[in-house]
Amino acid sequence: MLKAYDYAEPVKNKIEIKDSVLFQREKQIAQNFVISNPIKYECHSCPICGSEHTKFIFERWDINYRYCDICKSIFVPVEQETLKKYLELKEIKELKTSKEYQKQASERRNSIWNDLVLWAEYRIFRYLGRNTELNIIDFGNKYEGFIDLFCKSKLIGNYELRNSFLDLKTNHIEQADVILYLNQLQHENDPIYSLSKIRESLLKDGLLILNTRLGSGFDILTLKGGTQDIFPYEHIMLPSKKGLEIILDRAGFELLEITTPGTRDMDIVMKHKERIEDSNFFIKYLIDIADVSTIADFQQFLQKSGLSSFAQVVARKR
Amino acid sequence: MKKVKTVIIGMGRMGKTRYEAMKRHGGYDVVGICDANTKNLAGYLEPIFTDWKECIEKCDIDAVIVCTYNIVIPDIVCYAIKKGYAVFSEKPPGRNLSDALRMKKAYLNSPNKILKFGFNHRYHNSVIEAKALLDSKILGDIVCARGVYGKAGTLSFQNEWRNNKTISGGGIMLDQGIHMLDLMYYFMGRFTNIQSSVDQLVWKDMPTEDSAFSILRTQDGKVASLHSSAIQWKHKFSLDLICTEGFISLNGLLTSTMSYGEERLTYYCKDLECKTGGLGKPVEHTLCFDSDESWDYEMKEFYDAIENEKPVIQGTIEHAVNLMEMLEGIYK
Repeated sequence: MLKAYDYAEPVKNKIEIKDSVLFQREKQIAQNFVISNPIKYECHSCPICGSEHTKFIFERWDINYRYCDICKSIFVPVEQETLKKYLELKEIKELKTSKEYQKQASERRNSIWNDLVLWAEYRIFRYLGRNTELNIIDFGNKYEGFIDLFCKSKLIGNYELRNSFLDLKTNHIEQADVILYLNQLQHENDPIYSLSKIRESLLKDGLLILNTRLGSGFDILTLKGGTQDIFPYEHIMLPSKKGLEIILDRAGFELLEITTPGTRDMDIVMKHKERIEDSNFFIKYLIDIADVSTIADFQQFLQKSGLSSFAQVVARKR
Repeated sequence: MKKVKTVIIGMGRMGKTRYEAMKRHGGYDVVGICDANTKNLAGYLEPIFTDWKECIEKCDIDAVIVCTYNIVIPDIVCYAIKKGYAVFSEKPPGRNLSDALRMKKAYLNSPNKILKFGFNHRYHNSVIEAKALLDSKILGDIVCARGVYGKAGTLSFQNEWRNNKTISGGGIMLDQGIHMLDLMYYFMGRFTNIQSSVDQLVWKDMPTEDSAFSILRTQDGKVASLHSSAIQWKHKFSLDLICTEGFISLNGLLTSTMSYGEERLTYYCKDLECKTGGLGKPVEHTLCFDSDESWDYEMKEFYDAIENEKPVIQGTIEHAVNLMEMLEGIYK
């Protein structure tokens, strides 16, 4: 299996990908919603592998996150109607479609998006043998800046945005050469069903490009409840690498590659180092003594070994 | 799956490697194996032969796999192809251009137009990725390349058959450097202008070279430098591809001994405005590979040519002749 990592010289004062004020507001809206819409039932089986061997791993706002002993994924069992209500929440929609939110995202994520487009052009060519004039359906994208950049790339013949709260008029595509499913898995309570539905909109041998946070990633497992940017119901599904493989297989995809090119695990852990459990002597020691290049090397090791908490996937419709 | 009845002529290291790849593929029925050295045939259940002609004559076959010393490759290939069998032969395609041309003539007169030469490096994952990256044009057009393929040598290096010029036809350049030349040819096209220095720098008593430097130019002005070396004193594979909009570097190569290091491809885009990193430090992307399926891909392509009437894409006779012509330019 392909392993991949990115490398840049370590820099001081990295720009955060989220504006802290807007992010706090987003979390506050989510928290208010969670408090007024508590989970009504307790279901402990893993929505990915079906195992009953799951256990409590951390809680956020009185919501319990569970860890599957078999496929190592992390999840919150939420009712579909509650989830739907959250995803359609007016305050969230207003915040995320606001000019300020979109502007901040564009400024902070521009180079990440450029890299993503370049990567997509490469990987699509690698597996389809062409990377121009394609029919592409983009599920759930919420960033106007990315869509603008992506639509200017040579990849696009026709582009359709689906399931997004952005009010953009795009062409309807019956079946696509490529489907983008970026940062969507995190709020799916039945990912296998969702991906098998999405699969119907893909041509035979068409490609699914997916990215997601991974529950098996370094910062999530090290900080557990201390991970401040993981919260319900925005993040209720954090598959492990193995969990992701199961999801794709059961949804009818042939996995072509999973890479974990995430660059922020060490930054997140260092930012919240006081939340590292006392028993985690090694990581605490590493954070204390490591210099900039050691941290960069460690992050590179995480990327290469599939241990970063951000995954990129290319899969083919079977 | 329909079985291709096959014999393997030459059961040294490469014959055994091909045998295993054919078993993994599942579409081959090895009905005979042949080697002049009976020790190489020990332990196999298939009918064994020490005479290649007898092996081809006595077995009911569709295809012949040739894994012998270079000197006998043209004889076996020409004989088998004349008989109408599909033929797969290890590289190099003979000892020199004249051998390759002889095989081409036999091929053109053969009833069965399936002849493939083994250049397995084209099927290494880093090479497949590099080719996709170049063809995707996201790094622009390739303009030049630098390649080093080096061996550690062995205690008995000068006595190995590879360095017996009568048997092999050449030294390290023909034996190993041909792979690097082939990759450069694959990525850049045919080289028409060649300067070289082919030397015995350390192994002075050997009849063949231990080092070959070449500067190669294509008709359209692309330039490559290649160093094939038996005096690297460790195993090394390194190929840089410079493009108009970026750079690709292949380092290491997965082999059974793992002695060439981890197989990696690193690429980056030209970034004169320093958008991705500091001046001179663009963000690099690296792909690593932990498996080598090159032998399997090669045997699959050969099978598909025989049973599924697909064309031979890599390692055609044209490609073999072009390579030997370029090699002749290096040896001149």
